[in-house]
Formats: sequence, structure tokens, C-alpha cells
Amino acid sequence: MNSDQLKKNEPAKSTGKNSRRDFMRKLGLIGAAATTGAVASGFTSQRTPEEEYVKVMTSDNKLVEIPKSQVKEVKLDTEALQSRGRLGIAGKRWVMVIDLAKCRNARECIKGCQEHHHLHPYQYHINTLVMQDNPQSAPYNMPKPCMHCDNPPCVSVCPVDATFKRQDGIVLIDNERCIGCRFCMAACPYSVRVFNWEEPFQAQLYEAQPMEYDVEANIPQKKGTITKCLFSADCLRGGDLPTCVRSCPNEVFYFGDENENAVTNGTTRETVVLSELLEKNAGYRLMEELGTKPRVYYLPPKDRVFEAPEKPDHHS
Amino acid sequence: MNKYYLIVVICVCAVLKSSAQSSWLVPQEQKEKLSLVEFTDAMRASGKEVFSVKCTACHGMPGEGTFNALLNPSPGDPASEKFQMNTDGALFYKISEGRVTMPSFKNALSKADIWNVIAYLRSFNPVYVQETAEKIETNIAPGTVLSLGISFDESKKAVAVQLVGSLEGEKNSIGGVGIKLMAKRYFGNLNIGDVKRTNKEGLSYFSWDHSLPGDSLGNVQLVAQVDQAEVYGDVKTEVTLPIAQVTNKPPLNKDRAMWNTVKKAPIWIIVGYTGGVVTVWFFIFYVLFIMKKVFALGKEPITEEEKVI
Ligand code: SF4
Ligand code: SF4
Repeated sequence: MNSDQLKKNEPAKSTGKNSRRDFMRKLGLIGAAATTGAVASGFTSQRTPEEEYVKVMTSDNKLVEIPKSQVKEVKLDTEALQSRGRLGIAGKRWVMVIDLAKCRNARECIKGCQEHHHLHPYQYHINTLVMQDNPQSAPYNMPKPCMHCDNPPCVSVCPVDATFKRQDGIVLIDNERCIGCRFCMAACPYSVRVFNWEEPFQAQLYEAQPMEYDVEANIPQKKGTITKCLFSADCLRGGDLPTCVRSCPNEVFYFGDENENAVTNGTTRETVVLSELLEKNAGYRLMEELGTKPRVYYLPPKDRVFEAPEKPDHHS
Repeated sequence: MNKYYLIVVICVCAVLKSSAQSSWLVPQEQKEKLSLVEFTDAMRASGKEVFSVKCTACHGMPGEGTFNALLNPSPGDPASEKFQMNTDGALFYKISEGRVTMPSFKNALSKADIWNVIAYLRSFNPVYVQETAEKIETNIAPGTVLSLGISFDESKKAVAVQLVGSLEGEKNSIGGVGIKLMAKRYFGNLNIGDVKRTNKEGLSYFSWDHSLPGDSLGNVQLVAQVDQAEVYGDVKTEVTLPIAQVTNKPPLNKDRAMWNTVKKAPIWIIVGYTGGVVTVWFFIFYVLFIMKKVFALGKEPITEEEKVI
């Protein structure tokens, strides 16, 4: 996070009409009571017997205690969601591992994702492709989300800073800023970005019950702007695995924090050591030679547990 | 003689292989495992919930035959007779271990959850009569309250977990009980080493090489748990110790080549770019200036002798 933006998120500078929200910010409480599940269990403190304290999880995942009388429910507005969406979660480096040996193209990840991000059935944040490396080898299924590159060409080309990289490694899109130029689509070597050519899938729902724009989920979707895989940034904040990772019935996805050197399987919930997993299974990244430094690793489709899919057309 | 052995071995292997493909072998001891409690409606209800989230993708709705028939081995309908032939213990083993297309739910579901799912599935079997397990005998006197303590033993370079039982105010170390040590990670707990049995002093040691990454101060949250929760109860303790590796990596959007806005651009780019623009404009103005000079010279009157033809 660069210093300018950090300052923007600091409360002391602004006064006046924003003061209530700033007060909550001071306590690090943005989003606490409303979304991250405050523990309002009536925890009693020893310090002041007449004052009741509650434990609250702050937006940067610290557990703090504040007097119960001070707790006000904060409704997150777009601005607050955007500023915390830009900041990301401190001290994390998200990483995904996809085990190609286990993918049988159940497409549950796609279903979960499309539901989560209100996508049209033809729009994919994650898609499974049938791959065949050469005419001799058998085809395999390959789920392909955004690689959340550490050196993302899509971010470099965006003229309005609508797509950006966060400190925890996630590349997000701010649909409120996006001008729909689609430079980023052209720049992404992995073709993971999709454009909202039409009114969003849930347009009627948005009309019936307006919702705040959440930059961490790209909902509501906006016609004429870009959307793509977000590593379910909104779920991560609450300690949940991304939607695709949780939806997979076949143990394909691992997700975790590189700083902790651990990834958790979305199906079995088994936590394993990341470096060991990649070393033992010869983990690799897509198009390494481009220097994009993806945050998604693949384990080669060795010892497949499913029969090979049909050969893709161009090899027949 | 050697040849004879070889043939026997090959035959045995072939038989094992073919039977492993068609049926799922469950160790005898696992097969006989029973629930300690009788299934209740509450268990069935929560089992139904778990089933609809975790199992329907492949097994469909029990009794409706809506399982995914394309899978090999076939997941089957849980209400079918073949499925219900499994003993409770066998079902438990299969859910918990998994094989090929059936994932292992050992870590995804608690033991109680798995028993709830079994309770739910048994509700589709009208002839099922439940047997419950006898209480398992332990060498711990009834009424003992178990507690765990975690500490770091500098001399042994190991994390020591001690199991203590207190009965009527008297504290005793308890040996011979399996202990699991785990480190908390963001999405789950990472096992550290295998399950270790406590010795006579109630201690079990897990060797520690300080390579596990902790937070920016080197703290790590450790969780110790008694392995056989169904026998000893859910005995668990958590502690934060400063024995892990300090992890203080810079944020990923620092020092990266993302110069799409001025505020992210490094100073040399700003200076270089501005310098370039200034130079080009300077050159343009210089040329214009010279042209103006030439124009002005051309306007000056020329004397007769200066004219050269
Ligand atoms: S995969 Fe494409 S969209 Fe995702 S970060 Fe890399 S370049 Fe950007
Ligand atoms: S389409 Fe939007 S996100 Fe992509 S480069 Fe243009 S403005 Fe940026």
C-alpha cells in the first residue's frame, strides 16, 4: 500500500460530516459489527464493573474490546467498502493451488462462483478447460481463475486506476471507476477478464432491493465494465475459503496464505505445508516466461483419479 | 520353490486388486465401530443439513436415485439396499477416509457430524435397529477432569504437552493417552508431527525446529488435543508461544512495476518523462525560433551589390 492511500484511510484528517464513521475507523471498527460477525456475548470486564465490554473483530482481523455503550452498528457504504477493499488484509499473501489430477470437470466451482458474483451463465470468473499438451498425452481438465499476478499487466495498462493490486496479492476491479476501455482484457495473457456487455444477470433484483456496491465481490455488476475472479475477497475477510474452493467436491483446490506456508483443501479441509506440496508434486505456474508471477499454482495431472475427457477438437 | 512362491504372490495380488475395485474393504476393527449414543431426531436433522451441503453433489437425494451415475466407482443411492448393508462403522470409515472420487471428510467434518450423517441415512432404512457401543474402559478413574498444558522445552528442542487429571482436588499425571499438536493457520489447523502418547509423567514431546512461520513477532498459536475424543471427551487447549519464525514480508503492492498513475510512479520515471517532454518542446520552439529569424532576414532589403545570382 502506498503511503498516499494509507493516509486516506487514516481517520484524524477529516472532520465534520463523516465524524461518526471516522470515530468507528479510529477504533478500527469499519465493518465490524455489520459484517464480520461481532461477538456480542455480553462479555463483562473487571475494570469498570458498571460498564459492559464486548469483543469485536476489526476489519484488519484484530480482536478488540470496546464498551458496549459505544457499539453502533455501522452500515457499510460504498465508500467504506471501497477503501477497505483497496487496503486488503495486512500480513497476508493469498495463494491457490489447483491439483489437475483430481479435476473431473464437475463444474461446481463455476456454479458457486456465478451465483456468488451474479454472473450470466455465459460469464466465467473461473472456467474449466479441456487441455491436451501434445497428441500423445491424454487430455485433462484445467480450472482457470485469475492468476492474481504479482506483476499484473492488466493493472499497468488501466488508465484510470480502476483495477489495482492489494497488499495481500489480490487484483481487484473497482467498477465505479472502470470506464470500460477494455485495455486490461487485451493485456491479460490468461484471458480471464469478462466484460458486462448486457445488463447484469440480477438487474431486476438490484432494482427491487438496492444494495451497496462491494468492490470485493464486484456486486452489483455494472453494465459496460469489466469483472473477473476476485479470489472471493469478501469471504477471505471473514476467514472463509473462496467460493470455488469450498464448492469443489473433488479435492481439487487448496487455498491459503504463503506467509504461513500453509494451504487448506476446500473439500477435505486438511491443512498442508505449501512448500512441501509444491516441491513433492512439481507444482508449476502458467506461462512463467512472461514474468507475470502468478499466485496460482498447478499440480501436474499425474496419476489421474478420473478417466481422461474427450480429446479437444483441434487434435483429432 | 521360488517359482511357486511367485505364483502364489501374483495370484494373491490379482485377487486383492480385483476385489479392491469392486468392493471397498474396511478393516474389521473399523467395521465393528458403533456410535456411543443412540441416534436422535436432532442428530438426523443436523445430519440432513450436512448431507445436503456436502454429499448431494454426487449422491443426490436419498431414495430418489438422483446420484451421479457417470462416476466410477458409482456413488450409489444412500437409501439403496446395497448401501444400507454397510455397518455403522463401515459407513463411518468410508465417509472419513474416502477413496478415488469419494473425498475424505476426516478434516472437513467432525466425528459428531459424521455420526449425524449416518443417523440421517439410517432413517431411510425401515428395518434398521441401532446398536450402541459399550462405554470404553479406560484406566482413568471416573469423574476425573482432564486438562492439557503446552510449554516449550528449550533443552529438548521440543514442544511439551502435559496431560493432567484432577480428581477431588488431587492432581495426577496421565500417561498412555494419544495427543495431537496443531498450529493454527488462517483456514485450518496444521498437524505438527504424528499423534504422540503421553509418558508416565503425562508428557509428550513434539520436536520443534523453529522453521514454522509465525506472525511478525514470531508468535504461533498452538492447539493441543486429546486424540480419541470419543473416549476421553473433547479435551483441548490453546496457547500462543514466541517460538516460530518471524514473518515480515513487505506488502505485495510495494516496489512493483505498476506505474499507471502518477502517484505510483517512481521518481526517475517522472523526471525522465518530464525531461523528455521539455526537451522535445524546447527543440520545437528552437526550430520555430530559427524559422522566424530566417523569415525576418528575408524581409530585410538587400543592396544591389549583395545580390548574387
Ligand atoms: S491473470 Fe490477467 S487479470 Fe489476473 S492479474 Fe494476471 S493479468 Fe491481471
Ligand atoms: S476496462 Fe476498466 S479496469 Fe480495464 S483497463 Fe479499462 S478502465 Fe481499467
